[in-house]
Amino acid sequence: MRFFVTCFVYLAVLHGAFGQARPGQNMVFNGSFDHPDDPLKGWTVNLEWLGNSHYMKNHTRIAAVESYKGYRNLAHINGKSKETKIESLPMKFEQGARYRCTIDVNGNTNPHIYFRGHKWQPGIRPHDEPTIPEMRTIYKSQFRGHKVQKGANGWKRITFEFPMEDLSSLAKKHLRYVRFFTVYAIVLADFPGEIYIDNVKVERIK
Amino acid sequence: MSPQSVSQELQSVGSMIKRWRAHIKIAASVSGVLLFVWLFSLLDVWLQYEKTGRFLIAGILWVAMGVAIWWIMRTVRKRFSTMGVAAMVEGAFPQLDNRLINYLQFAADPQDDVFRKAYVSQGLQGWNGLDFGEMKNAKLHKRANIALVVAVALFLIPLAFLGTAWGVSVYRVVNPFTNIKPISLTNIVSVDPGNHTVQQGSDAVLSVTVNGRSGHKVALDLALADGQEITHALGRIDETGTEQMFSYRIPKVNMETRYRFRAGDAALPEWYTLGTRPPLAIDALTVHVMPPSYTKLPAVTVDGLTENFTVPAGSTLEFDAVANQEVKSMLLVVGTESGAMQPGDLASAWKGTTTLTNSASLKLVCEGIEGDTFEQPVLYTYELDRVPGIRVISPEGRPVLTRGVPPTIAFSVSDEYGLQDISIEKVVAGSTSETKGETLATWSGNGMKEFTQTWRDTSFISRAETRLAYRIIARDNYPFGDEKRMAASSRIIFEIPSTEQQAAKRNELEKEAFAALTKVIEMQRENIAKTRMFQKSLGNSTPANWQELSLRQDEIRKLTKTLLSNPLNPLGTLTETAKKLYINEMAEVIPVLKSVPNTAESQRPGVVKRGLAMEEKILRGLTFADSAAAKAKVQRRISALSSMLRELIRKETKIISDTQLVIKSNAEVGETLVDRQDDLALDFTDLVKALKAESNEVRANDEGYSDLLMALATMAEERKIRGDMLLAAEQLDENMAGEALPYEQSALAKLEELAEKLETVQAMEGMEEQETLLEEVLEAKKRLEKAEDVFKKTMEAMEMVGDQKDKSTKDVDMLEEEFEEIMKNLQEAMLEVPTDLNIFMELNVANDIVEDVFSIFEEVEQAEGSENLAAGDVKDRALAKREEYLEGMEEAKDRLDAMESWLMNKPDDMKITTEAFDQEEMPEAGIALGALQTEAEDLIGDLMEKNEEMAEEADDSATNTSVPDMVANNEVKEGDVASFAAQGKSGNETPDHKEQDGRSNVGRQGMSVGETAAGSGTINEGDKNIEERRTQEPTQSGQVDVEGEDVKTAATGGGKLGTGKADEVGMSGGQKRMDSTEVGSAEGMESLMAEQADAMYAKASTQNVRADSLRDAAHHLRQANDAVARGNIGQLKEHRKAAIAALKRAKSDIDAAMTGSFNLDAKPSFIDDVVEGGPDQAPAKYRDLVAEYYKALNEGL
Repeated sequence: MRFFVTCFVYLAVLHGAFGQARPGQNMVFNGSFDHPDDPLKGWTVNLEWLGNSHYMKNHTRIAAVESYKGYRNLAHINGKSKETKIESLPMKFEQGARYRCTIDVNGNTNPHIYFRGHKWQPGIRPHDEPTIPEMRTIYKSQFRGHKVQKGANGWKRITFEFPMEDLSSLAKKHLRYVRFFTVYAIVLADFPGEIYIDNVKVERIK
Repeated sequence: MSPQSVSQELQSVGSMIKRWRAHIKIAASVSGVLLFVWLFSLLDVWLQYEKTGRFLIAGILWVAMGVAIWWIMRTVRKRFSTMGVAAMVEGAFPQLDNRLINYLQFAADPQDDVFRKAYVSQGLQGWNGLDFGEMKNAKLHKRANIALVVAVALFLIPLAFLGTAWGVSVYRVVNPFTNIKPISLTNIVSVDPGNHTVQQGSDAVLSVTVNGRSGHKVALDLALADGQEITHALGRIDETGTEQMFSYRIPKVNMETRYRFRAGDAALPEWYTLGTRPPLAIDALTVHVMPPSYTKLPAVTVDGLTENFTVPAGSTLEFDAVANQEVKSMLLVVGTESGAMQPGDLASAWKGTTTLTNSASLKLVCEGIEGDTFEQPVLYTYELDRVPGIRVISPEGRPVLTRGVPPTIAFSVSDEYGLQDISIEKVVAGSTSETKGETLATWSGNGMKEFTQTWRDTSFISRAETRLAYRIIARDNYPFGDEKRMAASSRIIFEIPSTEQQAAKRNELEKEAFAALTKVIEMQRENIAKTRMFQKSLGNSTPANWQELSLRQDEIRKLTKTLLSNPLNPLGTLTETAKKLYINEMAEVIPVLKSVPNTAESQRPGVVKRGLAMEEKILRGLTFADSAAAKAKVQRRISALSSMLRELIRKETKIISDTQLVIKSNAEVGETLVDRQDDLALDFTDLVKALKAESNEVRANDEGYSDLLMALATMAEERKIRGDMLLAAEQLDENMAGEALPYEQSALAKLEELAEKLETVQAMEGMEEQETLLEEVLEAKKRLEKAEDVFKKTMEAMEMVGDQKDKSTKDVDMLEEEFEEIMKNLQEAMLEVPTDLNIFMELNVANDIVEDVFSIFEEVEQAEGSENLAAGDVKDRALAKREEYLEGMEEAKDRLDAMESWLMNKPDDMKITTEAFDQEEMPEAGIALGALQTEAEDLIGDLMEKNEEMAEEADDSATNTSVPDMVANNEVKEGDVASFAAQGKSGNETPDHKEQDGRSNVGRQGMSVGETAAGSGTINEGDKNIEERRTQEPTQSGQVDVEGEDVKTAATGGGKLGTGKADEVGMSGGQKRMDSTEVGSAEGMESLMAEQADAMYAKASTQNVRADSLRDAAHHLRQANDAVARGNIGQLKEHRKAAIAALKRAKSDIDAAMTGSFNLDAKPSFIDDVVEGGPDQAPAKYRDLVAEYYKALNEGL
């Protein structure tokens, strides 16, 4: 019995370390914004490294809030004064796979929420735990046409997928270099406002 | 009878009564004690009490006995008074009727009462004759005695049955302190190991020796520390009265265990404890690794238990081991030898030292106090000081040298700890590897870890030598090695065939190459034709048809591989393009064509279209390659001839200087000098032959060139250069150096004249190209001037209409009609030169470059129905001059950062007509140009479908309303303001068909007069209807690749080199990059190197020499420059490594191409720089493995 338990534990650990994401498994780290160390752990909110004047104070406009309209532990993105964005921890992209994201959103503006595919920055040696500054965006999924399911208190559950099923050669050319991908949400300067997001879930669907 | 005698008698009665009572109590007590002892002794026979029970029983017994004794003594000690006894007597004898009491009382106190006295004097009647024995409670006595008898009897009866055992039991009950064992039939003789401690996890054998009655069972009780109790039956006694042993093995004792054996009726044995102690182990092992001093490696301290550490050869290792318990001894075992370690302050801490000179196994062996031993292996990786690694960069394969061209070897030697010396030996071809050769050159390694050298054999090589062999020898600074410790490269063999042989071989290779190329083109044409045919009748096509097409494409790919493997590099500068075709389209089209029959019918046309597009691209590439091959053929031969001539001049110059030395020193002319002069005459003959032969060879490709070569050959013969050389040789042979010198000098002068002529021929060729170019430029300029005039008039007319107060529709309509007419005429007359070109001023060019332009693809699903928007749906928007922009044009402020941009999902349906500023209104100094970013983000998506008429209708007017910079955000589409920030995006729409200025990155094809700022990039499909354009500044470096389907470049901006279908090679750079920073700084150095690499690439390209690696090197150097600017050291290192690797490859390419030599068997590389971390970037010790891996990958492609 002890042997089987040991085997199971080993297999579980090995699968966790090297295995592929299984359909149905949530790939987003801290998608529910309730990490005990830091509710925003894993999410890129501080963009000072970009050196872009628009986003220098990006992190001051994003906060973890305990509750809002019936939801507990969520992220508040305040883009009333400046364009503000948040990005998840990179997830490993498998060529040929497709992914679906569901995210609960509330607020007074329509943010752009989509997947971003990344390759390595030139000169960065590939490794397994990349950070956003080490990556370079090469692919963006659609931000329009998401499936929206309305809930109570103004909450909306948004669902979108990536990559498209019928890819052009130009898209394929870019996609073949994608190594990691993230979920990205931005409140645009042209549509200022604030949003709350929670329950970010990404699962492999193919 | 006196009262005194009565009293005395009563006293006697009282004593008697006391005895009776004592007797009863004694009998009762003794009976009780005997019964108690009997009962518990009897029980002990069967139950065999342990100490606790015995003490408890004895305790009760003792207490009971004490109580009994107290009870008896109380009776014995009790004293009866006379009156009391009298009362008892009165009670026993009622007939006395209290007379006894009265008598005694009256006697004791007469009170002078007569009555009393009389009473006393009468005496005590009835006293005499009393039988006091009647006062005894006979019944009770009887019972007490019976009880006593019964108790004694019961006590004694077991004696008859149990004998000694009964006595032992009684004794055990009475005396709990005794250790006497109860008597049993079966006895436990011994128990092994008794109380004992074993190593945790080890086994233990428990055994018992019994002597007893046959059939009695023997069992073992185990009580584990975790509360678990187990009983094991061990068997039965076989024979009465014989000792027999029973054992039980506990396979693993993990915790303290109590045990006992039970055997038949043997008295219960005591419990024994089997204790555990942890296994002997090393708790901590610290290893200090001290590499030998020559390695200059620092000492390191590692955890010997958890780390698999590396030990450089010759290192001293110090061990500090701490065991988990005291140990008796500890040994350090290296291989088969062992040495004792020394104890430290604690008996568990030990120290030891050893020096490793081989990779023997290493372990610590310790012996514990209990005698158990433990071995702790120490895992490490022994790092041999390997002999240096030698890598021959060039030549590759089997080099075939043009006679007269000295063998050149480029190599690099590396050693992990430092090099001592490197040398090159000339060896006899075919000799064994042991054979030592003649050392021609030696370099001191000076402890360097890497040494790179390009060496040329300048020694005299006789014409008799047709094969030269060399080897590179390298020694490192390993101090313990012997003379044999060295690294030797494999033989580097140069074939030097005669000119005829070499020409024959080259012709053969060229023939093969051209035949292959022609065949590939023919096959591709045929396949395209068939694909079109099947496309038309898609429904009738069979799977076999598509299979056939697919197989043919496969054949085309295989043939292309042979072409790419041809050592002559027959495709010249287009080799890289052909490689890309080979890897991409040629590979992709095969499965596409094959998949047509299996594709859903609705999707088949699309798949066929895609396949056809790829086939057409292949054909275009091959056609260009065909033309390039012809040009390369000519250029290759000219280079070879030029090289031969240069070598003749070099050798003659050397002969002259040696001759002068002989004259000066009055020495005798050496035989070698004569031979050299003789050989040179023969070499010259070869040159003449080669000139004639090459003239004939290139006649088909370039007749003019062929004539020039023939003229040179004739000139060489007419000038009698060979004669001069032979005469000089004769004079030298006769030891008349002074006489030989004029002939030598004459020969040299004529050779130089010949070389000058050859260079003129080459220059003329270049001039012709330049003249053609100039003519084209002048023609374009004329067209532009004409366009400017027409547009000026048009604009004036429009302004006049604008000034009219009554803006009647009629006038506007008339003007539009006129405008359209003019447009039509101009298009016919001026090959679509844009009509609004005149609004642009003479743009100043920043020559700033965006080194790193990277592209992001965005998925966009086109809005439903938007592809059907018609021309009528286009909205017009007119904008008057915006004066406020004029001020902004003059000043470039700080760079503005970009924000989020995204692509549209429906075509641009807005036509913006902008009123242009007059040239005079524009800033005199031009638009201010701010600094560009080092990297820029391009955003691209699939082109949206749209109605052509609508798209044309929605084209905006050209605008010269410009800004130095603007925040890039929002939807990507053409606006009404031009930007000079080079932040434009490719987008998902074709650019409007209009002239455009400003600065841009590469983007989509379209018309422009502006500057392309991108250092490199890809032009994507866009507005196909374009004309040739260039900015005025020809000095900007960079390169633009043309990719995508049917993309055409007419101009790429600045001095950028466009490849593929660009017009020739664009405009050459040739001048210093203006963005290099301060001289002497790291950035400046990188820029300078990049600039030189660019210049060399441009030069090599014009000579039809393939040097793509130079372009790569320049790219990496610029990225390194950017990394310095950003302070990213990690990136800097990687880019520099990549640049060095590219430069090494480039050098090899150029050396071979310039001499006309070629390498047989050299494999083409398809994957250089395609993936990160090529062989040159691998650490030295893995380089060979990685190179092998790449080789295998290349061969697999």
